[in-house]
Amino acid sequence: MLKMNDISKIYRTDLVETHALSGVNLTVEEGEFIAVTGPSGSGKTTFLNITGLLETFEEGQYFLDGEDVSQLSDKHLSRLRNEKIGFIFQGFNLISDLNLYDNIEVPLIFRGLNKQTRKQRIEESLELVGLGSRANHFPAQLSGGQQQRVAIARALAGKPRFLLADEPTGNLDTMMARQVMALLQEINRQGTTLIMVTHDNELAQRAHRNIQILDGQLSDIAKSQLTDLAV
Amino acid sequence: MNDLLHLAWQGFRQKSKLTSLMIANLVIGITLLLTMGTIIAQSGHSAISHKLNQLHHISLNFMDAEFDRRNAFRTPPLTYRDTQALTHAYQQDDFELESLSFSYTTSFVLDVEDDTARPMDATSSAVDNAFFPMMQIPFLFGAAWGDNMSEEAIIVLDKKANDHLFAGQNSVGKRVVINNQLLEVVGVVDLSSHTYRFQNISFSNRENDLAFVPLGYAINHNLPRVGYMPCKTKEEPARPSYRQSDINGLKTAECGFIHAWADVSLLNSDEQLENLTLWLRNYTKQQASQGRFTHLESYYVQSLRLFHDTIYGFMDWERVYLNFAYLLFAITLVNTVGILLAKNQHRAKLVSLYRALGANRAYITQIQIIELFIAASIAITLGLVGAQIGLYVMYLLALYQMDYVGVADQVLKLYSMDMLFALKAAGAIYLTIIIAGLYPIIKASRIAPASQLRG
Repeated sequence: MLKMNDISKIYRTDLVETHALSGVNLTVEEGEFIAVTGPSGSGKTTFLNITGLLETFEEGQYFLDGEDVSQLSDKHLSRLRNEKIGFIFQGFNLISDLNLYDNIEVPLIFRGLNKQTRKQRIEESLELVGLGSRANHFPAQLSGGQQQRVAIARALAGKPRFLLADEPTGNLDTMMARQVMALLQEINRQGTTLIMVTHDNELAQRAHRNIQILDGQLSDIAKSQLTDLAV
Repeated sequence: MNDLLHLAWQGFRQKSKLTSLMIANLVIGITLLLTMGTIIAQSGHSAISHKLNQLHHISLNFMDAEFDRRNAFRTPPLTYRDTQALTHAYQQDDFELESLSFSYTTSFVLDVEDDTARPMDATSSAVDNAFFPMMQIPFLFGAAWGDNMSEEAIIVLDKKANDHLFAGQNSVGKRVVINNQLLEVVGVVDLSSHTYRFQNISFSNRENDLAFVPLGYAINHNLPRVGYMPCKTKEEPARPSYRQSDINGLKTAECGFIHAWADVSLLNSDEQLENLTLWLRNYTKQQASQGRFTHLESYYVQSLRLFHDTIYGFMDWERVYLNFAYLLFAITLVNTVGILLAKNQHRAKLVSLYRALGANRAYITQIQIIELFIAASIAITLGLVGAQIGLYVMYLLALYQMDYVGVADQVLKLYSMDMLFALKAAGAIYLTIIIAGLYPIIKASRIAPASQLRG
């Protein structure tokens, strides 16, 4: 359902060319939970952004549900992002001027759902993340962990097939991080494919499959290797 | 569309302090510009603006050699004697014109026979029948009197007088009383679009004529002469009686009271004016042998445009205010651009988030256009309300300056919103806001969303 062939990404400035990804090949099956690890600057986030259609790439092919995304228009790409992909950002990226209800409603409006369906989905997703009673609160009135749960609720409300999480616990304390991870695992158990970028090997161990990125090169690694790294 | 409006409204409410600042800034600019612009525009406008180059006021300067006219509005009217000479020459085809009209300013108490209405002071004009078509005065009822009716007891009322005396009904055929004489109403005109009383070159914006009587009748019945009536020094002592009672003395006196207007053809106006001027020059030269026309400027042929330009020249302060208003409006627009850029700088991340959540560029642009439209519409609406209040305050000030002797309705016309000007200003605001507000959004929507959503 998700297939990358020889994907390369180069960032260019006047003086330097940085190969963020080089010849990445990957196939992700439905329902998988993949953890992407690697040191800072290795290309983890670039990989996730390309996977989530938030970034373009120079070379290679990327098929999402059989569609070659490099051939798609802005409109078509937007629709794929909206309908098939849910994003969870490290910095939450909630709209501070909108309450939780309105924040979660935004992608549902983009999809063109009617008001009643939107309301139902927003309430369901807020209940799922345990914030059902806080729909009228604003992000600033919540803790970091709660904000990340709102971001998860926003991603889930659209019932995406892929959930892409970029360091979802990066800005949270240990307790909050565990709660959020438990939630993500539960979502994956219910059938949503989860790709999570993390530099925390302990969290990565919870995934079905682990991928490591080093200098833009991607490789599958065994969990035992992760344990070694964690030690 | 509801969803677009919903998102645009949400966007409008974001950074509400910046939005409020932008709207307040625009409201001040619009209010000042529309207030001053309207006053200047309305002051320069006339119901017969399209005839500015066709209508010419004719004057023969019989005054003493040292007479100082000061400005175009103090040009001496014609004496009775010169009026006769000019009429005769026109009838003899010494020069050709589209039409020639004579009038003088008078005033009387206007009453009805059956005392059903309170008598009213009516500042009026004694005119010939060429006056109405020349000045394009619109008739509500009836028509102007015919060529051979110049000495008959008839009258044309303005709508205001007709409303007062006959409750706005068609009064043609009814009779009014002036100076204990009965006059039959032959027509009712509406002078509401004539903001200036230019027929006697006073260009008063305080009041206009409430009635018109035939010139022959007015002279025969010695209807008083009011307004500007200059006399040669030697005639000065007799002037009060010439004004009120001594029409026979006035006919031979060197006192000007009759205004002459010439309507020239659009096609050969130069030739007609040249011939008219030639006749005036010859006439004054011929009269000089009798000791008349000793002034260096012995005649004037002045276009209505010249009078309009002179009025405009008198509005120095208003023009200074208008220039300041334009300057402030330009500053307002620059400020608006700055505020929009500040507001939209923060938007680059929002635009990227919207794209990440599934909005395409066109959709984001639509949201932004609606949001900008909301902001501009609120600013323009409040600006229009502000300008309306500003104009009303200026109107009250104008009435105060006139010691409240002006006719309120007449003065109000000069302080009524010029909708065309308002539309142009609104268009400029919409255009500026849309361009300044869209540019950063379009730019932001062209970069990969990932770059804005890190961290």
